[in-house]
Parts: sequence; structure tokens; C-alpha cells
Amino acid sequence: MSRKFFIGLLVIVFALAGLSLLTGCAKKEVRTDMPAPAVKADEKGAAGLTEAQLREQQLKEELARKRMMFLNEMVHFDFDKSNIRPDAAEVLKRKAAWLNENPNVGVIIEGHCDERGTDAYNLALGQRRAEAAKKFLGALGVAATRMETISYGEERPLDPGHSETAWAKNRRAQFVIK
Amino acid sequence: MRRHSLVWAILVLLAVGLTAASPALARVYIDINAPYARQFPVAAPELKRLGGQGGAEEARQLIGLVAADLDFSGLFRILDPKGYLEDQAKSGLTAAETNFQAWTMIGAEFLVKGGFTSDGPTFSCELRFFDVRLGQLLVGKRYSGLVADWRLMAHKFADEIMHQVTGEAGVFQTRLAFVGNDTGHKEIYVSDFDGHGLRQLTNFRSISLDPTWAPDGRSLAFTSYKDGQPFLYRLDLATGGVQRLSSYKGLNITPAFSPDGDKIVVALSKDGDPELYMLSRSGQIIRRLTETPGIDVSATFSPDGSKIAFVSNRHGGPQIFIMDLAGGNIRRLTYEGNYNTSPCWSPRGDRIAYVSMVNGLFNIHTITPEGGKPQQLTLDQADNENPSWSADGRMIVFSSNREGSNALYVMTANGGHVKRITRSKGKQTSPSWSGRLWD
Repeated sequence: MSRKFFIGLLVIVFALAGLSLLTGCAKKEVRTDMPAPAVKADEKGAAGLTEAQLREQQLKEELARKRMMFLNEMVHFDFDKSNIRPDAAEVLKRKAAWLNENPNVGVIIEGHCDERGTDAYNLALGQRRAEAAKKFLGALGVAATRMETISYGEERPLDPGHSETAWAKNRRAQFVIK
Repeated sequence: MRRHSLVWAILVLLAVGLTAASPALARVYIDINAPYARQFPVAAPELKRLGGQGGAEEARQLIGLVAADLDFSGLFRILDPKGYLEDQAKSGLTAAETNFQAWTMIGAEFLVKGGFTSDGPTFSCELRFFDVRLGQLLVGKRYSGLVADWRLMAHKFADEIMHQVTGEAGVFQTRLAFVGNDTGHKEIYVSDFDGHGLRQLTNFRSISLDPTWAPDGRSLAFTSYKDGQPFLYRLDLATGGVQRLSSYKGLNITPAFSPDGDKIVVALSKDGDPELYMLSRSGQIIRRLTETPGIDVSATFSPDGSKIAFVSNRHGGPQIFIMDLAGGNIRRLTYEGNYNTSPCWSPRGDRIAYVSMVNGLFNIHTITPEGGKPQQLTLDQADNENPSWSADGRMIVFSSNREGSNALYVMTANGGHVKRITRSKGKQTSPSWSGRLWD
């Protein structure tokens, strides 16, 4: 009886271990812009993923995360300025790294301004911001032919608010993958 | 509207100038250079029926619109009809039949009188403008047309009155073009100078900006993203047709027509950063005007066509500069404030309106082309932007958010007599005031 008990206990322990692996995968948030997890909880049974499959899963998630970061991380500017600040330079370095890892991708760099000031002047300022980001990336080795620029001036704010915070968010260069 | 233009061409030529006693105007009524603008009291009694049966409502509105136009100019004060003393039944329409004393007694210095007839679809009126103190007819006109033409008749006569009093025709037949976002997208709209007759001209459901009148009033240039990039287009007002004018890589923005309409100065960024270029009417580049790194944008022509004022940030923040189109000679105009944009040169040539950011707020200023101390016109705790001059240089239309969402307002050249022009929901911005369309 104690042997049966011991085997039963082992089965339970393994089952629990397997279950925790599976629930760990299945519970990952599935966002619409991410690829669905490679493994569904009900397909694999109690043993869980193999090492290789797990690594592949993690790699896919990492690529998706990096792509989201590329798109969502903005390059910010001071009011009425188009020079690249040190913090913006760091962002651009990450963007250059991603572009080097994805050599077949072309991008559109959008230049934007906050709502203050003249519409026409802001169209020009937005253009300068987009060009400044493009030039910085060019100096980091990204081919100019991969990058187009367009200015939207103050016409497409990220944040519709009227505060300093909103304005700071809107003064940006934003990247779109072609 | 334009569909009557041929009929009008004939009828206006037939418009009888009713006998005026004045040869060349001896009195200078309004000196534009006088610092204090006094308002002239004017009376405008109801028009007398001279015949026919219909048209009473139009006649009532016609004289009301003449009065409204005179009031709009800021030069006149309309006396309340309730105080009018002259017995309408006993008086006539000519000087001889007018009891000027009755008008002097209530303080009127000018008087508009008239009569009308209407037969079915047609409407005719005769209007007279008197100097009350001299007891003299200054100008009289007879207009004939359709009943619906009463607005145009009123505007034409108000323009005649302005001519008598200032030496220059009025601007009551001019139009405004501007950007409105009522539909959820920025589109181009047009209206009469007073906001009446609002019409949506574009429906691209994109971003359309900066409408600018060609000097002949037949077309508008504007920038739009309707084809995916900020290109420059021309819209023909008669046909509604839209034609691409400039579609270089990057920006194609801030069109400015030369006074003869032959050339357009635009800002293009195709060669690296936003610079000014002179284009032909059809969009061919004639030459490049600016060379410095940084932003050069928003040109405006002097009325003699020899110079432009424009915005450049070559010294740091945006400032207004002037250049001679023949020889360069680029010189800075604005030295007060760190952010000066949106220049618009008065058709009189002696002042340039622009926007200056002071303490985070945007206000309209004017400065002479020689530079010097600017004059601040708007003083509200609000943003006041995009100034555009009337054809006679007496008024400025601009966009302001002083009452909430941006709307268009008109003020006199000294910043007084502010009137709200647009009242639609949404924002109205970027106005352009047309020249006189009926020269």
C-alpha cells in the first residue's frame, strides 16, 4: 500500500509540475497584435513543452515585443526644436538596432508638433523633426533608401489634452512600418 | 452669385447714376491716417414702395443689410429707426423732397433713402446717400434684377457709400475662405465676408489646409493630404474642379500669390529642409528664393509685388524677415518676442500683420515694413491667429478661441470693433480674405 501511495504521489507531483508549465503558457495575455501562442493548453497533455518549443515560443514573443517597442517608442523634442536630445538619441539607437536586425523593412518617419503655434510653421517643424531622426539613423548605418519622411505638423496629436504633459507627448517623431 | 454674372454685367452697366450734385468730392470725410476713428451717425429709413406688389420683405432686409454693412466697417453708427422724425408720407426720395432738419435734429450726418418696385420675379430699387449737413446727394444708384438679388444690391450700394466717404470702394462683395472641421475632417469652406452664404467646397475626408485666394478671386490654392502627402492644389470656384499644382517630395505648403496672379511662392522641403521657391501659375519652379538651413516658410507679397515677408528660424526661433525679389537683401523685421509667425502684408503696403507668442498666448500685431515698434491689436487671454487683411486694408479677419472653439472674427486695422463671423460647431481657422471680385 505504501508503494502505491508513493507512486500516486509522484504522479500527482508530476501532474502538478506539468500543469504549472501549461497554465504558465496558457495564461499569457493574447493581444491582437501578437502572434497566438504556439502551444494551446489542451493540445499537449500533462508533459508540457519541449525545451526547443519553449525557446521558439519565447523568441516569437521577443520579436513581437521588439516590434511593438519599435512602433510605440517615440522620439521626443523640445518646444520649437528639432535637435536630437540625449534621451531621443538612446531611443534612436534602439531603433537603429531593430532596423539592422530587420534589414528588409522600410519605414515612414512621421514628424509631429504640439498644438501650440502656427499650423503652417508646425508643418515645417514636423518635417525638420522627421528629417533629423532620419539623418541620425543614417549616421548609425541605416540606409537612407529605407526611410521616408512625412510631416503632420500639429494635425495628428497622440494626446488631445492641453497640458504640458500632452504637449510633450505630441512633439515627436513616430515610426510606421511600410 | 456667379450665375447672374452675365446678366449683372449688362444690368449694372445700365444702372442709372441718379443725378449727383457733387463733382469731385470736396470734403475728405475719413482720413485713414487719423489715429482717432470717429464713427459717423447714419440713418437708414425703410424703403418706399414705388410700384408693384411683392418684394416688401426683401426691401426691408435690403435696407437693413446696407445699414449692417456700414456698421460692419466700424466707420458708421446706425441710428435707431424708432427715433426717426421725418414724416415718410410727406417726404420723397430726392434732396428737394427731404426734410434734412428732421435728420439733423436726431444727430444724423448721413442718410440712406430709397424706394423699390417688384413684379413677380423681378425687383428694382433706387437708393440715395445724402450728406445731411450739406443737404446734398452724394451718390444715387438704381438696381434691377431678380428678387433674390437683393443681397447683392445692398452690398453694391454699401460699397458705393464707402467710396463716397473714404475715396475707395468698400469690401462688401468680398469673400472669406477658411478651414472648418464640422464634418470631423479639415475641409475648405467659403462664405461672404460677413459669414453669410457658408458653403463647403471640399469633401476629401482628409486634412486640407491653408486656403489662399488667387487675386482674381476665381480660384483658391491650398494644401491637402488627400493623396497621402502634403501636396498643393488649386480649386476653381466656378467649376469646383481641383487640379494638382505642386507635388514634390516632402512639403508643398503656404502658397502666396503675387499681386498680378502670375506667380506663387511656396515652401518646399524637397531639397532637404523647408525653403521658399517661386513657381509659375501652373506650378513650374522658376527659382529658389532661400538658401539657409532651417525653416523658411509662409511668404506674403507686398502689394507692389517687389518684396515678400516670410518666416524663418535662421536666428533661433521663428521671426519675420523681408526680402527683395529682385536682389535678395534679406533683412529681419521682428525683434520683439521669440516666436513671430503668420505674416500678412496689408494691401495698403504700409503694415504687415503677424502673430506673436507672448507669455504662451498668441496675439496679432502689426509692424511697418521698415520695422520698429510693433502695435499689438488683440489683447485677449486667448489665442488669436492667422490674420488676413480686407482688400481695402481697413479690417483684419482672424481665428480666435476666445469664446471656446476657434471661430473667425473681424476687427478694424487698429484692433477695434471686433465682430464674430462664424458660428458653426467645430473649429474655424486659417481664414483668407478675397480681393474685390467685382471690379
